[in-house]
Amino acid sequence: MGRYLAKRFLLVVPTILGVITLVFFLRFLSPGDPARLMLGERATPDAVKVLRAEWGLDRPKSEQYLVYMGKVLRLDLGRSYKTGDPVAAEILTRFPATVELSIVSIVIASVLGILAGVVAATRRNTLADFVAMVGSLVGVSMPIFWLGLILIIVFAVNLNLFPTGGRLDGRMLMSPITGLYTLDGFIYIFKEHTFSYFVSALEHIVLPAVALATVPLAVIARVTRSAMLEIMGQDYIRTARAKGLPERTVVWSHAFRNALLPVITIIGIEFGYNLAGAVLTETIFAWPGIGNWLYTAVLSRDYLAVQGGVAFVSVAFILINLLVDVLYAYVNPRIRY
Amino acid sequence: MKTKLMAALCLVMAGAMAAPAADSKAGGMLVYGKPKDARVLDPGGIDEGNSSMIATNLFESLLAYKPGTTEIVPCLAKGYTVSKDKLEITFNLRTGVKFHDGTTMDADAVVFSLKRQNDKSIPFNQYGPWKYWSSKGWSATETKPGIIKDIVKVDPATVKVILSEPDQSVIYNFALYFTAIVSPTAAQKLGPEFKNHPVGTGPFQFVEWVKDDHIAIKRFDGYWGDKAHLDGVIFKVFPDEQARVLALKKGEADIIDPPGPEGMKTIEGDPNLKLIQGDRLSIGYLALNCETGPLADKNLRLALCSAINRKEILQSVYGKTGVPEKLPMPSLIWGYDKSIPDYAYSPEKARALVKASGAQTPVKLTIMYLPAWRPYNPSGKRIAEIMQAQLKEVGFDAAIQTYDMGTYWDNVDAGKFDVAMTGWTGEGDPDDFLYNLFTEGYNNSSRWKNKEYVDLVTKAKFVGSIPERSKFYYKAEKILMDEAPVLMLARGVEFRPMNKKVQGYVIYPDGLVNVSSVWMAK
Repeated sequence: MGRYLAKRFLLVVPTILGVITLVFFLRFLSPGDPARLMLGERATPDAVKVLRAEWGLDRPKSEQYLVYMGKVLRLDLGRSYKTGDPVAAEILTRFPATVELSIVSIVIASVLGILAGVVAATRRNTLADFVAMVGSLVGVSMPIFWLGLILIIVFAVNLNLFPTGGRLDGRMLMSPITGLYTLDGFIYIFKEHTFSYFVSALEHIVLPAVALATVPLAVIARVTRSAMLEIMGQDYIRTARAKGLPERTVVWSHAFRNALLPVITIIGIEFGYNLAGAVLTETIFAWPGIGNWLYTAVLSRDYLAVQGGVAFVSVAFILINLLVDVLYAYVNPRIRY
Repeated sequence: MKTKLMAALCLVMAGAMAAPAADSKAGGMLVYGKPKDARVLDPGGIDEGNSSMIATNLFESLLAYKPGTTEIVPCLAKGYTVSKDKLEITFNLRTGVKFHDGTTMDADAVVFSLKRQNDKSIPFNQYGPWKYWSSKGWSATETKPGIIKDIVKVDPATVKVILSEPDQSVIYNFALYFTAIVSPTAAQKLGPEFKNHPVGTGPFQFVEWVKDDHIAIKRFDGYWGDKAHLDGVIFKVFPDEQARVLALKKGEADIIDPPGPEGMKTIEGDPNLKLIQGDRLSIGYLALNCETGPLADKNLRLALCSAINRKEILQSVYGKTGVPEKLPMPSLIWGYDKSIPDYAYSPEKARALVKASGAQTPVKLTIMYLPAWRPYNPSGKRIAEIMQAQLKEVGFDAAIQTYDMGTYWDNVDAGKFDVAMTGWTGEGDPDDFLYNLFTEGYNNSSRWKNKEYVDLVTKAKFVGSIPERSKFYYKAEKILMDEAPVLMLARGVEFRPMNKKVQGYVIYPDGLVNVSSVWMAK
């Protein structure tokens, strides 16, 4: 296992460099001059020329690439054209919000998706199966943008159960500790003897997490059902039943455990997608995460931010896949690397 | 006994009357919902509304706009004088003004705040770019000297601005946020981080900035002028317009940036909300390409101006959000010749002009429309569709197209259009419209070159008084209307949707959000 992990880590570096190279050169295909955009409506040709020179945009492409890659190898992702702040700092400021939302949404999606998939598989061709599968089809098909607004209108405005957006009550100022507001709010219970931050953080994460969970939930449900159906038809399951084991034990201890591999894979992939930036969810729910930041960077041709953001997301995706591989070995002891 | 009791009662009543009444407007935390986060909070580096709305409340300049108007009044300077040769402007500073960090605002602070944006020998200069100095021509270029020659301290309460040419349009710029006075102590200490931790003299001071989430400011109790009523303000980001409107409805925001027409309808129907309205220095217009394409022909430009029924566009697209203007500058500011006749809607005249041009009909052209809401253009696509139908009736065959904002402005800069929707949110001097939009530089979207016009608007900068300057502008405006490099669509009307509890909000025509006079009804 150790050798396998070491090999995988070694592969991470060339993979990331490959992604960065691709993104770097892709930008030359897109129109738009970041210096002109940065200087805005009051730009003058002279000022644009000066800024392009300052940013090195007037240099040959190959020179720009080598300079940039030299910095990346020193872990310097450059400075955002838009704000002048280090790209790495901009990413790290926003990443906790994305991580928090992604974790909560994937937990919701996984728990409910697995339950729905198992129920559908064990009650095949019944109403429960039909409801679970049609529900998942609707979940996959529903535009998140529309769903998000519906959730806000119904649960936030009409029923007044949840807030419309953000991470905390608009009038609350909490100094973050980890950047994960639910966790920070929990810490503040002991630190300042107040539940208000924790309750507010929980309230604020529910609707965006539910919205973001709908597609993964549907996918996980379908994959779980498929995997379970295949396992449930195996001889050893028949044997387990013949031995008189309770159905619950047959399903969960025998069938589900063996169906876990594809389910873990899909959960890992969906988690990676969420981390990559749930742009629409973050926009609707005013959630200040990576997705919205990257989208804005693309529109404003903030190339260094885009390159740095994509590199970061790639690393996250690769690490999640690595974690999935490790989990495989735990779930299925026959797997050895 | 009775006398003693009466005397005691009188004393108590006198004491009660002498005690200052509690400020019934004091207190409260306002939440302002905006679509995007600020970019930077250093006023010298700001050029967009999401940053300036914060900076306006933290910083002040030597002069200011009188609330709700375009009239210039003293602020950090008690007044100014202009030398006879119009090459020196001397500002007399207010004394006893403190920055939020407790240091004193004086001539050194003024000189630093202004010169750091241009003088490369000042280390802080490297933290730019300082857009306004170059766009205003204040800094030197390869081909010509800057308008601002030097800024010097005369004494601790006096600063002199020395010009290289007697450009009187410079003065109103000292009411704008890019000339705001910053704390040199804080700026030099923080360096590049100053833009994230601003320190000024304004009625509010900075508290915190959580990127893409909110910026919090609180009342500055050491403010030299009338203290703000509010305890603080939180500028919260709601990227989605509909979600922002819903936040206002629910009370999570107290004021929001104005939404589009659908959002406005939602707000108008809510008994807890109100819409206040004010003038705006925003104009929306069509830039007609005078350099290439069919509209390089003046007859075809005039034909287009006669073919477009702008009343229909105003009614069906702008609604309450726009008012008609004929000249490409707001009629709110001086220098606007109200007597000049506008282009009348006349399809017959348009057809005659098309015929007179000798162009083969239908005349093919493309209309490039704005992809997103702007304060001077609520829906580029709808306007383009209406224009397309109107132009078809008089012999034009117009195709409509759009691009993402970055590409859109690139195409405008490169002249890759026949008709492009554009606009301008300017300042309170005609120079910012008539010179800025129709002489050299990117803002001359129409690529119109008229020497006589340029001479007139250039001379208008250097004469002394408003009546004298106006005479030059009136002549220039006549040429503008004769040549038709642009067709005005509307001047934007500023709306602010807010909770009915919000009182005292004043709309500033330049679009700045100033909450110093706001209070919350209990």
